[in-house]
Amino acid sequence: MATKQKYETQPLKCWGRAKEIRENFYRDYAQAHEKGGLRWAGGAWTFGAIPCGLGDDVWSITSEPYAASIAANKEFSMRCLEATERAGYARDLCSYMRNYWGSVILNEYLWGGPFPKPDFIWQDHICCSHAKWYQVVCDLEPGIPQFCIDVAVGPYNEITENKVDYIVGQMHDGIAWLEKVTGRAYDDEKLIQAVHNECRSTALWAEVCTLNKAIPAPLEEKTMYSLYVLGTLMKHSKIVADFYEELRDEVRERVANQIAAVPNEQCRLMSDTQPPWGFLSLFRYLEKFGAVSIGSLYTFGLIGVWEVKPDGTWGPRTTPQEQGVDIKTRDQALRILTDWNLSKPEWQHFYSPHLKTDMMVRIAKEWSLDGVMLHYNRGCEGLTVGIAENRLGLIEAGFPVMTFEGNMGDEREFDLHKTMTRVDAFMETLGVKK
Amino acid sequence: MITVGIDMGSKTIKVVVLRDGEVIGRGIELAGFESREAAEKAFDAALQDAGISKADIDGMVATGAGRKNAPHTDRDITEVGGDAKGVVTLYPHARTVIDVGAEEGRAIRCNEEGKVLDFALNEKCAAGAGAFTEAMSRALEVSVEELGQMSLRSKNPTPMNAQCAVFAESEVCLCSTTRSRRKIFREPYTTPLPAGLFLWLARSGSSLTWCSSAESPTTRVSSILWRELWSAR
Repeated sequence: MATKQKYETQPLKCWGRAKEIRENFYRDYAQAHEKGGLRWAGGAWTFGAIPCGLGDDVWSITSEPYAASIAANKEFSMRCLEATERAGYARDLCSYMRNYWGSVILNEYLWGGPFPKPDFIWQDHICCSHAKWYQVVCDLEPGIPQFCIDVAVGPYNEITENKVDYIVGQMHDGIAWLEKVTGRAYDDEKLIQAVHNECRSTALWAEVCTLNKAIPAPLEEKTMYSLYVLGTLMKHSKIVADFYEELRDEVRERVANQIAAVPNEQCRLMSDTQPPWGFLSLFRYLEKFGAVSIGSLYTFGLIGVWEVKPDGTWGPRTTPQEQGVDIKTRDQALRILTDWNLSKPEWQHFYSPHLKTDMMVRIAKEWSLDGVMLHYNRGCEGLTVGIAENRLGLIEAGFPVMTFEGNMGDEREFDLHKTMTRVDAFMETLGVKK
Repeated sequence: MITVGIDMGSKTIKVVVLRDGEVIGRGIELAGFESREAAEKAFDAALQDAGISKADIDGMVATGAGRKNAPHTDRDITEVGGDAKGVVTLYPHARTVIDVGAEEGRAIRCNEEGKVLDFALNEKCAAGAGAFTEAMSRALEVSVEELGQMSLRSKNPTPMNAQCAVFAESEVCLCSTTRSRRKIFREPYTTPLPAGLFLWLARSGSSLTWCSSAESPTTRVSSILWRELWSAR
């Protein structure tokens, strides 16, 4: 039996709009050719603002969110995973990648019909898996032109002009390549608008996450997954930027009126790495204890872009527009886009688990947490690298930590019952009762 | 005051009856498929051993993998919490507990009140758990009770190379076709293979302990030890 209700709660008013944006995204990609437009595929971290310069009739699919959607559909996911394994790909590869490849191999789109083949691939190398992902897609579906930007320039606290030049140079080459493969002239004004939208949407998402410092938390992480995902789809779009502004305003109102995500909130946690997408009921189980997961470095920092504010706390990064910067040229837009993306929190911990630990401890302190749940995610080597070090760092900082093994995209590697048993033990450790 | 504790383990159900903190009755049954029925039998056996009836009981708590299925209980506690409280009650100076269950190994760090400070559990692996030991005893065709005693007599343990319980069993089967097996039966005082097995088990438990930032003193609880204590009374 859940503990007594302490706070008022109500569903988000903008929830329906979030669902609509997501559904439209996947529909528009599939129907791009019917509308005379283009469609491209790439990772969620790719510099998606750049293809916007090709026109308003260019739609995309981003690989990881699509694969996560597959993972949430257990029946289709199993077919995709097994198809990939039958094709000879190892089971210990990135599970997003295996789900995505399976969809291509089966030639089935999660939203029905055959898998819509992209006109080109626009990718970046954020991790080993991303480096090979679309190479394999091209093996499976020959003839798709691919451009990939190498982004391994180190953490943001060591950024130099040379490193920015390295990436921007590739971007300039990429634009020339886009013009060649599509036959379209590139519009720099559209690029500039897309860059502004991206800065705006990612700063707004960070602001939404910052509002979760409030007690009670206005949002909980399971809901946040459905909201942050829009930024992984098209953070460069005005649609998402406008939506995040609407969301921000609604969450501010919830904070002002003490509207809680979990009405019996008595314990605040954060998680980390992607969740096991087929088992988000775990978060509902936490709520029986009055435990709210306020987010994670993953939820906050994969889309959100942050800075340390004058008072020393974390908050949304000030956008170029807020600084009064008027972007006039292609090169200027690309430099801002590069710098903005490289400062993203999730980008940092590819380089050092200590950078990640610092950010996680900061979140734990500023968001007033009682404990942390770490998903030792076998499905993503990039986000799980160093997680055992993160655990030690959090414990050293005084935060109780619970770990559980699983896989974000392969249900065969997650045991929900055992994990819930661990949650029971962890809640006992924290002195939290149902 | 009479209290009862039920451990609804994945392999065995154990019931203990206490009067003012002193054990006055015990019951044990294999869990099987119908764990609730097995729990009733163990419960009845424990009451009979204690010479009391159900009406005499003031409180009852369940723990173990099947604790939600326990009959007659007022509340339940996780195995982690139960281990810590139980061990500190019996051994007030203990601060680290290693519990070798049938399917799960646990390392727990606690304070002087038995409050859990940190814990680590094995993941998807039977290494270091009781079920592995039982599988090994079947492979060597000796009882679990004998396996433990034999290992203690060895002066020259056979090193086990495999980390995985499944591969370790294969390794045991391979070793048993060599001199080691003949040595087990012809020279009972030289038992390198069982010794190697228990060293392997101990190392598995130790790695869990490291994960939970163990502190001395450490107490090890295991189903094998429990069964030896049970048969020795």
